[in-house]
Amino acid sequence: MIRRIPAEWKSKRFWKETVEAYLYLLPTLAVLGLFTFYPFVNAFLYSAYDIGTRTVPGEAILVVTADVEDWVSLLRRGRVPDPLSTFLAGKYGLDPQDLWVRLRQADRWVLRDEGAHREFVVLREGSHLTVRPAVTRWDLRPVGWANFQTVFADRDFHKSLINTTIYVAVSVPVTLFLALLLATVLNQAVRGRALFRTANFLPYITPWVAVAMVFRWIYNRDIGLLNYLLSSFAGLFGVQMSVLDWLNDPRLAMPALILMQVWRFTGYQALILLAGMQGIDREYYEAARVDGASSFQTWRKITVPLLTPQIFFLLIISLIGSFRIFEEVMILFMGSGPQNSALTMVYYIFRKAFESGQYGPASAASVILFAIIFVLSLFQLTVVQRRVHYER
Amino acid sequence: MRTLVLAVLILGLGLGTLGQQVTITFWHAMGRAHGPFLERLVQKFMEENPDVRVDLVYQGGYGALQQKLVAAVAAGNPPTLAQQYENWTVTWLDALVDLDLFLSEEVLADIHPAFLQYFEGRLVTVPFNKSVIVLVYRPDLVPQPPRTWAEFLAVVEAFGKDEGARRYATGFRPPNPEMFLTLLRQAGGDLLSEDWKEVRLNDAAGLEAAEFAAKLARYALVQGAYINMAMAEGVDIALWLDSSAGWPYNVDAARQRGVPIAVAPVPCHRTCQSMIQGTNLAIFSMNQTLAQIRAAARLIEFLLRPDNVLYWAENTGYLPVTWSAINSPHWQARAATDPIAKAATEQLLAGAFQQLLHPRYMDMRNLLITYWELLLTGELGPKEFVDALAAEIAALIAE
Repeated sequence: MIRRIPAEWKSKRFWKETVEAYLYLLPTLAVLGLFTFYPFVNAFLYSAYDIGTRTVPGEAILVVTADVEDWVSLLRRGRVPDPLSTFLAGKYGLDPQDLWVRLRQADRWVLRDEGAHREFVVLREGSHLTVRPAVTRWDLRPVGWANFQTVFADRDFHKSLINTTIYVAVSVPVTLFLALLLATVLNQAVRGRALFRTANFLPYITPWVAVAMVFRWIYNRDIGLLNYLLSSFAGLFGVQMSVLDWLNDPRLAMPALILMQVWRFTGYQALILLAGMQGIDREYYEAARVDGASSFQTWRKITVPLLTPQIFFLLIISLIGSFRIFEEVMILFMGSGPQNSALTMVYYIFRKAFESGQYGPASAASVILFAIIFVLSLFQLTVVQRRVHYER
Repeated sequence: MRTLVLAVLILGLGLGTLGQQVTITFWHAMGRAHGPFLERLVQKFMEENPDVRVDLVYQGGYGALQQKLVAAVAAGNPPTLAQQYENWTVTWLDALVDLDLFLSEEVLADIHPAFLQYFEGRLVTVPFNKSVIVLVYRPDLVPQPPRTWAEFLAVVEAFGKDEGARRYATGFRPPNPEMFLTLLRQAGGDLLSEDWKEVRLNDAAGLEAAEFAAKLARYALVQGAYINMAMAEGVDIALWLDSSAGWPYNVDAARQRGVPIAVAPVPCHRTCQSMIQGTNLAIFSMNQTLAQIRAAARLIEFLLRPDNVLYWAENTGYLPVTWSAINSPHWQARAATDPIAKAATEQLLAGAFQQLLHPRYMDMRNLLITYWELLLTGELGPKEFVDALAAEIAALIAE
């Protein structure tokens, strides 16, 4: 089948406008490309490599079988053997004065040519030495699936996967449900509604560090507000409550984290749902009233179904955000929580990369995290979206 | 016309001088508290060495410095000189210069041997800001600091623990397994054998250290936050092991509570060893000329000069790292009046060791944190602790 070229393609104005539009987009594309797509692609790439800064030797240019110990003795003292200087000067035309030894090990020595900033490595291989050109660089050695195997065999990774799943499975629906209730309340014609709305948004715009520091105090075992409220409440019923160590008890760390997150995001999600509620056509409510529907029936049969686009949006956004939880853990627990009870996947990735310097396994873990989020988002977009009602 | 010629001459001379000047970059993480003293030292170095210009760049905290160094090394463009922890150094060892090729023998011989570290047989770092684990105590609760493990345990058992009254004999922070490593070395044990081929942790010495720690832990406050934070919140803790770098925070917390505080060397057992922590300095070879490397080595020698070591130690609270500084009358006088200077110096002289330089040390440390917490909370007994941890570390080094 021959496809016809669209008529507007022939117009100069069309091309001018297209180029102009792309020029406007260019800064955004450049930033996205550099800070989003490039690292994204690299994470995939790095997951298949053993990564490190290494002096990588090339092919041997000289094999030394005589006077090996004399060479080794000189190299150990940081001196370049004369025959080696002569050889390299002849081969590369470098000045022997420019050669110096910068790295000495039992069976490896690295020489620098100051003139051309070249490097050579002398390797002890059995009874002889080899001289090779070398380069010191960020080196990638393909290892296939080894990084994934390392990660899957790591108990800390299992722990982080379980912790993150529990966190997401509890915090996302609880936050959304509470936000829905809050939005319903805020949607009523109550006095001071504007003030409530602002107050609900405050946790979301408060800097994270401040929130986590305040919660460290709230959760304090001895002088914390939460334990005080709980024991006062229990006291009303004549019950003596034992003190809960929210930040140091591995059974309580995850609930503490979830509670803080629910507090932070409920108000924000409620505002989005509220905006959705106010966009629902009043005629539906009037029709329901005429039909004698109760308030709860109206809410369940009209408000909630017509809010599904907003609920769906929040579900995807909060699901992705929750899988990426990291800073909150770091600040709240000053680590990964008691017995790694708050070790999340991103915290695990951070620890692997920046504490252990294992960039390959860290990248492999980030690819696994991406795959999980991708599959869940796909599930939401295909299965869940079928139940979303878009008003036309 | 004459003015013009003169101006050209002056400009020419100026450019000539600039041409001879070597510029080096020095990345560090010394913030508001310690940064100004480093700036003053570097300024003094440039005054004494007008042919060297040092671009001293504060990179933020240690985390930020590490991430920027990782990126700079990957890009092949690191600074000439940088402050770094041992576990960072092992990841870019090949990119560093052997310092013993550039530093004089006198300078190297002056460094206290506890601070000299050999990475795969190479001397690529020199100590910079160092601290050591010491014993912090409340003289109102413990009149005399214990000197041995037996005394330590006796004090702890006599003081006991009363959670309701928020009184604890001692305190441990599981994210700091360096306290266990200190006890391990004091019992004569170690994590690995000297050749790193075998795990030594579960030998008799390892078990003894774990048993001792478990006995202390019965009367300890075990929490993720620093002990000084608990003290500031009103918890009474009689004595605990802490880094000498944490002393100012302990003093602040004690002042806040209105209670006295004191410090002493760690109680000894078979040895008096205590763990050293802190960063070192190393010179990168990537993208640096020999002149820059030599200039950076001169700056290191300058920083290790007795007067500068003393200036740095006195103003920052870090340990003096050279014999000449430690033995100087100036430092002795300081130690006579400053409790942390006295305790840390005594500890250094009694015995100190540094972090294991194994490339997987940080993974071992993460395991240590997990198991150390299980031991402290009583979820694992000492024997289970050393056996399980040893098995995990053995699997790690076998990889």
